[in-house]
Amino acid sequence: MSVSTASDGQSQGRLVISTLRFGSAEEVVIFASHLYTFVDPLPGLPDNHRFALIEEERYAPLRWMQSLDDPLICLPLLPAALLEFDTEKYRARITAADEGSGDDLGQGGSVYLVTRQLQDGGKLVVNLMAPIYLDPGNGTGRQVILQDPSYSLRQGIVWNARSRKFGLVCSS
Amino acid sequence: MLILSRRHGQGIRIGNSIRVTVVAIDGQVARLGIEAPASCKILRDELWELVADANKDAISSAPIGGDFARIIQGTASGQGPEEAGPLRSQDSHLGTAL
Repeated sequence: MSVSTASDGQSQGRLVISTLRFGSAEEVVIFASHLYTFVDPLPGLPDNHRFALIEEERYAPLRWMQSLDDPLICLPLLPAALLEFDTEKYRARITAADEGSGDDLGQGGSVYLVTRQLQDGGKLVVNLMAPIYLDPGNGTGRQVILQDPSYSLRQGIVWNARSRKFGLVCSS
Repeated sequence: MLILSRRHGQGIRIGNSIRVTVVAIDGQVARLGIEAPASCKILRDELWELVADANKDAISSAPIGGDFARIIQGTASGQGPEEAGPLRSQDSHLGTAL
């Protein structure tokens, strides 16, 4: 996979990113407001400070967070608001864990969850322990680690067609 | 890596605002007291490693392109409280609330 920002692709607040993430070489248009700087790099991904949030309707509700520093780094994310659980409590927990960062969680920001497909059985899990907060207001992002055992690193999810959200799979 | 030997009650300073003190030593377990600004996030090493591994796994295990949308729909088959339903483009706009 390769990705690059094309200076001549910048037009009316949009950027064109070339990527192979979606199976073949193609260009993805993103809003310039979807560029985020991580002052503190994500755990496990040092030297990656600039990311672009790719929102393509064909891949909804999934998002992709593409590193602009390393073309091989592209994280699948799911908006936390798509989960059937107490989002207010969750956001409050994130705010508490992030207290003192000097950059309070803004109301305009969004919480995303790193999504994985397990090797055994292909089930989808999200990382509730370490949500990613993206603030389009100041163009910054950070991954907040919750030291709370009630939020799992591997929370199974299942699509609920009626609510159009993901239910949490209870672990047995 | 800088390696220092410290006894019970002794400590080190990192920069001007972080102080780490050896509070107790019991066998092979050392209890550390840490004084640091609230903006300085302190985590056990193993917790950081768990998150790091999860991030890297998410990148390496992510299916290419539209396959992921199909897999998401597949999670509804026989597992959820409701029948599977197609993902719609408007579902993508639900993510802005939280």
